[in-house]
Amino acid sequence: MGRTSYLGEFEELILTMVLILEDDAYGNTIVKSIKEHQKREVNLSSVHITLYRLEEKGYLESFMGGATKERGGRKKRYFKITNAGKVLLQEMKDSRTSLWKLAPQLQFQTIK
Amino acid sequence: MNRLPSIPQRFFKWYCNPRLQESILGDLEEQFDEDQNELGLKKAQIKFTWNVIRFCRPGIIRKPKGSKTLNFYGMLKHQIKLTIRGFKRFKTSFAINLIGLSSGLACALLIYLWVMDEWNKDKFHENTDHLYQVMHNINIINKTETIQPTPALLGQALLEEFPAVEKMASVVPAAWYGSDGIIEYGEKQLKTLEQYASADYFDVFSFPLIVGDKASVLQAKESVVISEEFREKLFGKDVDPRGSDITWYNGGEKTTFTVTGVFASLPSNTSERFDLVFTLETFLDKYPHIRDWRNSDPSTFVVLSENASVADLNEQIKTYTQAKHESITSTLFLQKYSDRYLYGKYENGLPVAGRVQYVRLFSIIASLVLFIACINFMNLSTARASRRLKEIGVKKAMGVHRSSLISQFFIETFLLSLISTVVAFVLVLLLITPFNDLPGKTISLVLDSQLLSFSAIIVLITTLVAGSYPALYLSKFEPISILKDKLTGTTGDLWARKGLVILQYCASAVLITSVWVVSSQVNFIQNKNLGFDKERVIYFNADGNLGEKSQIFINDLKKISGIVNAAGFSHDLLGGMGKTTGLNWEGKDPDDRIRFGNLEVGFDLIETFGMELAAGRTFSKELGDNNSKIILNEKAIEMMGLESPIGETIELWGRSRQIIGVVKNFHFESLHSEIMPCFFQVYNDHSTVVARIAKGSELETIEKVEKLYKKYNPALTFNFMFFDQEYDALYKSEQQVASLSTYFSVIAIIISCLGLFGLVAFTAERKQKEIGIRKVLGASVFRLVLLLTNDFTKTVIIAILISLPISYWLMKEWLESFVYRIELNFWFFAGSGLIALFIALATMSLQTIKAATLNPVDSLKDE
Repeated sequence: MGRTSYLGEFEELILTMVLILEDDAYGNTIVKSIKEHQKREVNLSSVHITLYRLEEKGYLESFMGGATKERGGRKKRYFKITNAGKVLLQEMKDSRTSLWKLAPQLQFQTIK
Repeated sequence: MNRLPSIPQRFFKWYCNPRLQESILGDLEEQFDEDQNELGLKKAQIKFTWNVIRFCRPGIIRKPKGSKTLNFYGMLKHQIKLTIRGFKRFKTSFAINLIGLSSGLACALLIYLWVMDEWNKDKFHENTDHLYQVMHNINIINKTETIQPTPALLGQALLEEFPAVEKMASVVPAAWYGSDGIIEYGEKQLKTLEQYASADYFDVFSFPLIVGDKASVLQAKESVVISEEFREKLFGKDVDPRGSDITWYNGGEKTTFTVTGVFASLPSNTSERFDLVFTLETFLDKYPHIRDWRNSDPSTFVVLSENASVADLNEQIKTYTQAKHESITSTLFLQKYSDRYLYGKYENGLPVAGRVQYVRLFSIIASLVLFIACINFMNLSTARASRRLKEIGVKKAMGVHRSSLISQFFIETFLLSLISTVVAFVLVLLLITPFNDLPGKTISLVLDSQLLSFSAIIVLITTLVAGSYPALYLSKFEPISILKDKLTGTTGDLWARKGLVILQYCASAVLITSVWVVSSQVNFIQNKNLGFDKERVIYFNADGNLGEKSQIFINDLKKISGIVNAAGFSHDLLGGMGKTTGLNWEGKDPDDRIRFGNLEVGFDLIETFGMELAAGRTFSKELGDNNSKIILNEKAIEMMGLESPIGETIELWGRSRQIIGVVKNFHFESLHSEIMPCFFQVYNDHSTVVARIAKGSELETIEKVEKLYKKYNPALTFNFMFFDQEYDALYKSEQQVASLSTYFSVIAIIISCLGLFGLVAFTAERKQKEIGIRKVLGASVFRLVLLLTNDFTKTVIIAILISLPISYWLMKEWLESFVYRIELNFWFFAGSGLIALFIALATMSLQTIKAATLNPVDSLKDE
């Protein structure tokens, strides 16, 4: 154990999304898939900010590519998760699972 | 492609980090395309704009580039540090600037509060934008007089005939009809200030009702709506008084009304005052002759529809009443209700001015005082420039750009004005209580957004005005000439400084003259021989049981030892009297519509007021005079053109009266207006009792009168007024102006003196060596003082000369508003000039004598 950096909930979500989207991770697709999978409306600007922050922390890397006609000919900035990012996500998942193992079996009260 | 809104797009390109720009804009456009398909172009554009705004945050915004911007915060810190060091090092000039600017700002703030208070009067009504009062122009021999009373039938008729009129209210303040009545509920009795109003009153005016519905409270004829205070006194707090019957005693009559509602306490920003509202029907039943187009009494208020044209309606109603009856010659016009408070003075049937004059006057004074304070700052900073020349030279030689020097001086000024504003707020807090003690105003310092933005604007203006000259002037020097010490004050610079002193002293001299003239005029009014003796006269309402027994009461009153004389009276001499054109005499031009003041008096009233007779005799009880006799004043006789008036018979309201006496002219109403013709009639019952008290026994006599009053009215409190105080109250606004302008002028003069003091101190310091050498060579102290002050004395004299025509013109304008006024004589101007000069000399001598008596050894020992 002994992780040195922590991620916020939103950062983790974005990082996971980049992982899921593999080769097609850029601003708009991330917004869309969050809406699709999480039923959650997020603003494009917050997604971008978070992406840049994660890039700065070294969990993501970005490259330009895929100029298409529909965007006024502008290139997309694709994001790809780095090894550090993958390790971090794995660590976070493991630590959560180990914590869940310590928790008593979930028992929901039945309503009489 | 161009569907993207261009302004947000350009904005985005401007702020966005170029590295990120392309990809983000691409994402945005992609989303825009989708939005356009789903939501349509308009919404997509709005969403795009919103997104651009959302993106404007750190992380996206481009980083400042280049060394200049990197240096910005450092420079700012450096400049603030230098400023604060400067303050610490030159304590005198800092203190002078601080005192000057902060008192100037405090003046401006106080006046702002006062002006705002005046400005917001009567503007809180919901309908305020469409609420108008119908004003009435009546003609009296070549002159138009504008009055509030209009025919009682007017409001309803306007509402029915003009679609532009949405609502209307006819209102009669009952105070116009003399006595204020008394309300009785159970054991409790209260004096009232009541008005009559038509059904929609509370809909037209936004006086909120606590109890009752505004549409129905004045529907039934016997309804009465009472104030919150009245409810508390009569029924208790939070009681619902609806349905309770209260009895109203007024002028010997007794009527029962049912309470239908309670209105909230009147706000302080209304000019209306009343405790009760009765229905207009009650009034019209009481005075049935008012239901006639020829008689005027209620004020008429109308609410116009949103898109109504006031000009058109004005045109339509102008001669509206003339169509109703052939004998009517008066015209109507609409004036915005909220304007009436500030524009309450009329000339030739149009509102010209009123209190707004004072609002303007004080705004001018405030800006003048602030301006003088700014000039001080400019003066001192330029004068002290030499001390900073080295700093500027070194900086420039090191490559400092002129713009950063300018910004440095502005930052200095800004900091100083910021500190001064804080001090000014403290000053205002301290001054606000004495300020409110002055007649007629209660203002409070509430930190709302308006006040804060005003202060911010004032700080900015001060910074710009006070800082611009030093900033632009000091920064323009060539570094070489500074460092080589070749710069020894250009003539232009000297002239600029002198010019500023001239401006300053000119403004001060104008203020001194104004204060002098205003207070002389106020004094003149208060001491003018009015034609009667206003001292030691008290008057009070003949209310309660006094109404029926006033004759007996007055007889009892006269028996009190300290009472010189007493009489009943139905009017006052303060302007509250009826006026009538219904007087006919032989040889009257049938087109004449002279309005006479109607004074209904009791026996001995003329004697009680000490009015003098020009001819004939006064009313006499012994001779059995009644209202078949009449007494006129000289002015009336003159206007009627009667040669030997005594014994002549004239006609009043269709009944003949015999003239038995002529009273010498006396002033009633304020001295703003000319003495008007008037007549006296004698009656038995009166609403007011007037009594003159013997000198020296005022207190005991009033106590005795109160005892007598209590015998008649055990439940009522004895409220009496001194006539002279009420008379002086007619000049409340003049007194207010006099005392306020005195205060502000004193401040302005102090500020100017501070400036001069600073300048002279500076000159003395620079000439220290010269003085020392001159002294060693044998110059006298007097010669040295002369040397130091010569220049400034000349400047001040020029300033005073320039001020003369300005103050003459200003004062002439102001005095025009009085019919009876002082003459502007030479001494007002010469005197204030001398005072200004003297103050200037005294200020300068403080510093120069010190400099001239300094031991030359001290000034010459070093170097």
